[in-house]
This record gives sequence, structure tokens and C-alpha cells, in this order.
Amino acid sequence: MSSMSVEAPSAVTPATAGYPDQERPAWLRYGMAVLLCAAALLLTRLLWPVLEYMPQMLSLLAVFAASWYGGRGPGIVCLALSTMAVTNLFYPPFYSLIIGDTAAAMRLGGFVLVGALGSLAFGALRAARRRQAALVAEANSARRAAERTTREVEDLLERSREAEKNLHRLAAIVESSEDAIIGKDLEGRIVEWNAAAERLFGYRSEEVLGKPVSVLMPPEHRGDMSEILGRVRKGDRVEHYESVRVKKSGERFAVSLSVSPIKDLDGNIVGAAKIARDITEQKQQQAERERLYREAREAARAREDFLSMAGHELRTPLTTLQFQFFTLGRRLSAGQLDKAAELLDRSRTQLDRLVRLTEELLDVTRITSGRLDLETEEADLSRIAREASERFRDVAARAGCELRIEAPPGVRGKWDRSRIDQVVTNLVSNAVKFGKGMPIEIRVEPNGASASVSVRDHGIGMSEEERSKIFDRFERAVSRRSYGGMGLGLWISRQIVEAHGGKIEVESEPGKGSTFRVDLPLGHA
Amino acid sequence: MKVLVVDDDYAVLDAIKDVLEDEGYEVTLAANGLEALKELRRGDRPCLILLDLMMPVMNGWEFRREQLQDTTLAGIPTILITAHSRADENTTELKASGFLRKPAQPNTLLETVGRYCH
Repeated sequence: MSSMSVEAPSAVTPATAGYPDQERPAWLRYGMAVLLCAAALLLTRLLWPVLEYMPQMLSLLAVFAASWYGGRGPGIVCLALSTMAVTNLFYPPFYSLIIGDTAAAMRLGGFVLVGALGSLAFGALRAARRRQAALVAEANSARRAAERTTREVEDLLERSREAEKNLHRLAAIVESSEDAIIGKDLEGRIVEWNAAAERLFGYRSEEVLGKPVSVLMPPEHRGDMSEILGRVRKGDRVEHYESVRVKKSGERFAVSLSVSPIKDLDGNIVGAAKIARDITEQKQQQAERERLYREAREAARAREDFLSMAGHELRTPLTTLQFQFFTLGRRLSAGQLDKAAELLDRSRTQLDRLVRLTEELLDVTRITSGRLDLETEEADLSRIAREASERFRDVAARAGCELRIEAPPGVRGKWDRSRIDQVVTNLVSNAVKFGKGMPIEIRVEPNGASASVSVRDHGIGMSEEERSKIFDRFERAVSRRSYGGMGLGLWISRQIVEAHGGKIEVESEPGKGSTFRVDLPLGHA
Repeated sequence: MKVLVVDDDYAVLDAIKDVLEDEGYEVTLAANGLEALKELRRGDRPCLILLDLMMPVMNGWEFRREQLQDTTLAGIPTILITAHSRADENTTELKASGFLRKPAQPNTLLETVGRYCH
């Protein structure tokens, strides 16, 4: 808007300053005429020696003054009173209205004539000045009105400039907002579209202005808006409503919406202002945080379970050793050396068991810190399998399991002998534990560039779901009430096999048993 | 005087058997709850059952349920011998006479058995 000012008209110089706008009251004008008349007569009487030859002169001035002060009427009244008084007082015969000589009559006649003309002239002059005064007053009042109007117009201009500045500032704020700001009318047509809306939705303002706001919504979310608009029509504000919107490219994203009613100057709701924020990242972060929290809780629970199981596993051989040493002491005191030696042998098995458990615990640390170092050498897989199954012969027999081994000689490769032994031992130990007293078959097979060892039992088996997690750390497929163990054996076995470049797999069916098969490349160094 | 020991670990069974037999007790062994029930229904009534909880085939909880339902067996005193951290809770839950926590002292074992078998 261009700057503009209004010149006020300059003030009218009051030529009749002090002249009363209002006519003086009649009593004042006529009273003043009588007073002036009387004063002139009195003064003539006092100054008689000087004024003897022109006794009506002061009275004539009084007539002029009375008509100047009060107008034509008071002038004439003053003239009439003066004429009568002068005739009576100053022209012989005194105290009568009769005039004795012609010269006196002519002087008096001149006085009356000049007095009457003077009254008329001063009256007319006075009336003209009063009219002029009235015009000046009117002009002044018009000037004041014009000044008032000028001030009002300037006020309006000032306010309008302020409003314009505010509008610019608000527009700048809206434009620079990080959030998309979209205005729509009550029919749901887009009427405002800021820069952030362009960035977020990918439409330029000329592409969407006037379009229904539903172009921004995926079909299944178009119903949301009727509910929100219903609330906005009632004058309510809807804050942080989470929904899904669609970009020009068709990509969908999570959005948080705040919708407020737009009112006109009379307070009628004429549309809605919508602030939209892309919360896709926020949602992803939240989901990620929830996932991490869930995992941390699960890990904590698994660790807790593991510690409890590890305690249980360590206590069993310790109990055995405690009882065995007690008996050993008694046998030695009784001199039963043979029995003592046999018992000592059995104690060694418990010691081995403790060592194995401790090694397993250390393996967890080694594996998780990436320090599972293999010491590879030329090794015979068949021999490893035979030795492992030999160690289990007694335990298997007591569990009622017959161990059948099929291992052709010469299945050799570069492996860490003790680690592969650990894997086979673990598989055979599991087969005995879960084998329900049925035969167990151990088979070693050469297979081109690799060799395999499989351990098959006919025991309790497991479901597909159980199979999926048995190679995970601390996991077990069976109830803790029925089977002990730390839940580490298969996890460690998998780590060892994979470190050799091989793989471990299981086939199983509930009630029918399981077959674990390990494939190892021969030449892995 | 016969004691029935139920545990799935043969080494534990053998070690307890040695300790008790040296004291003159007769000891029968069972590798799980089912074997223990068979033993109880076949042979003489023992003066005490030493029961492990975590066992395959039939665990300690299942065994106690069966035992308590059988009126001829329900009265046999049963001591839990367990590495379970909440042995006292288990004792209450299973209405057992007491518990020995693994690793138990041999003398404590003998005292406990002596209380029920004399």
C-alpha cells in the first residue's frame, strides 16, 4: 500500500475576532442606547461653555455608538430620546418641544437627519459584520470537522499499515514453518498451501489450490477427515491426530495432524487450518526403541534362566563329588584300597564333567568376543566319532540306548580335532539324553570335498518351531522340569562348525526322534 | 530299612547309594518318576523317598501328583534333593517332608535319612 497523507486546510483567520457569534440580548442593546444617550446629555451639560454652539454633537456620537453596539433600532431610540432632550434642555424656550428660531430648527433638523442616516449606516455595517462573523464561524467549524476527518483517516491508514505488517510477518512465519500448513474451506477444498506443504507432499501450490483435500489421503483414511471436520465445525481443536497421508509420488507416510477452525470477523467458522508433520522417522525410531527394549528384556530373561541353569548343572557333579569323597574317606580308613581306587576313577569322570561345563562357559565368552581360535591339523573324523561314542558306551547302556556306529576309515580333513570332538560328544550326549532308551546311530560319510557325521536318535523329537531355535544361545526345545542342561551345547557346536566353514542341520519329528548332521569341508585350514 | 533314591543322573544315584549302603541302609534306585512308581508298586515299602525334580520321562512334580493320588503311597515321607534355587517353595508346593539342596553335605543326608528310617 502506498504511503499517503492528508493535508488539513489552514485555519481561517478570524477577521471578527472577539465579535460575538450570538446576538446580544435586546435589553442590553436598548439599555446601552439609553445609557449612552443619558451620558452624552450629562457630559454636554458639564461641558456647556465649550459646547454651547453645538449642543447636539455628543448626542450624535451617542446615537452612532448605540447603533454600532446594538444595531439600527437602539440607534433610532437613542436619536429620538436625544432629540427630545436636546429640544427641551438646550434650545429656548427651555423645557418645551417648541423651537424658537429658524437657525436652531435647522440645526436640530440636521442633527435628526445625520443621526438617522448614521443609525441606518452603522446598523447596516453592524449587520454585515455579523454575517461575516457567522460565515467565519461556519468556516471554522467546517475546518475543525475536516481536521477531525483527516485525523481519522490517518488513524485508519496507520492501523491498516500495522495490519499489513502483521500480515507480512504472519505470512513469513507460515512460509518458513518446518511443518506443512494447509488451509481448507468447509467443503474441504485446499485454500492455503505453504512451502513446507510443497516439500512434504510434493505438490506445488498451483497444483492443489482449490482441489479437495482428499487428494492427500489414501482411500482407507478418507473417513478420518469427516470425524475431524465434525469436531472442527463445533469449534474444537484436534491435536496430534496420527494418520497416514500420500505424497504426489504415491508414497505413503505417517503424519501427525493438528486441525483448528478458522473463523471470520463475526466468529463464524469458515474453514480449517491443518498443521501436518511427517512422523515416519519418529515412528521408526519408536518401533526401533520398542524392539531394542523387547530384545533387552528377552536377553535379560534368557541370561537369568541361563545363570540358574548353569548353577544347577554345576551343582550336580559337585554333589556327586562330595558324596564320593565322603565314601572314599571311609573306604581308605577301612583299608579297602580296591574299592577306593574304583571310586577315585568314577570321581575323575565328575571332574571331567566339571571341566567340560567350565569350558562351555568359557566358550560363550570366547565366541561372543570373537576369540574362538581353531587349531587345525590333519584329523580323522571316523576316529573322533568312535572315541566319542566309546566314552558314552556306559552312560548309553544305562539309559538303555544301543550305540551303533558306521565309520569307514580314512575320512580325513584339516580340522581342530578337540573342537570337532566337542561337537560329536555334544550330539551323542543329546541323543542319549533325549533318546528314550532307543538305539542311536552314528554315521561318518565322505562326501567329495567334504565329510559328514550324523547322529540319529529315535527319542522325543521336536516340532518345527522348536527346531528353529535350538541352535540359538540359551535355548532349549524341552521343558526345564524334565531336562537339565545349560542350553549352550548346540549353539557352541554351530559356532565351531561354522568356524570350520561347515554347517549343522537337524531333521526331526515329535515322537519319532531327531537326526543331527554336520558337514565339514575337508581342506579348510 | 529301604530308601528309594530317584534321580536321572546315574553318578548322583551311585554316590548316594554308596554313602547310604555303608551305613547299612538298603537302597533302590530309579532314574525317573515312572521307574520310581514301578519300584514302589512292586517291592517293599521304603521308609523314605529322596526325590530329584528335574527328570525326563516323568519329572518330580508329576511323580508327586501320582504318589499323592495313590493312597497306599501317599504316606511315604519324601525329601526333595534338588539344585533348584527355590527348593523351599517347591517343598511347600509338592507337600514334601523337607528338602536337601545340592550340593548337600553327606552328614546332613545321613541325619535326614536317620530321622525317617530307624
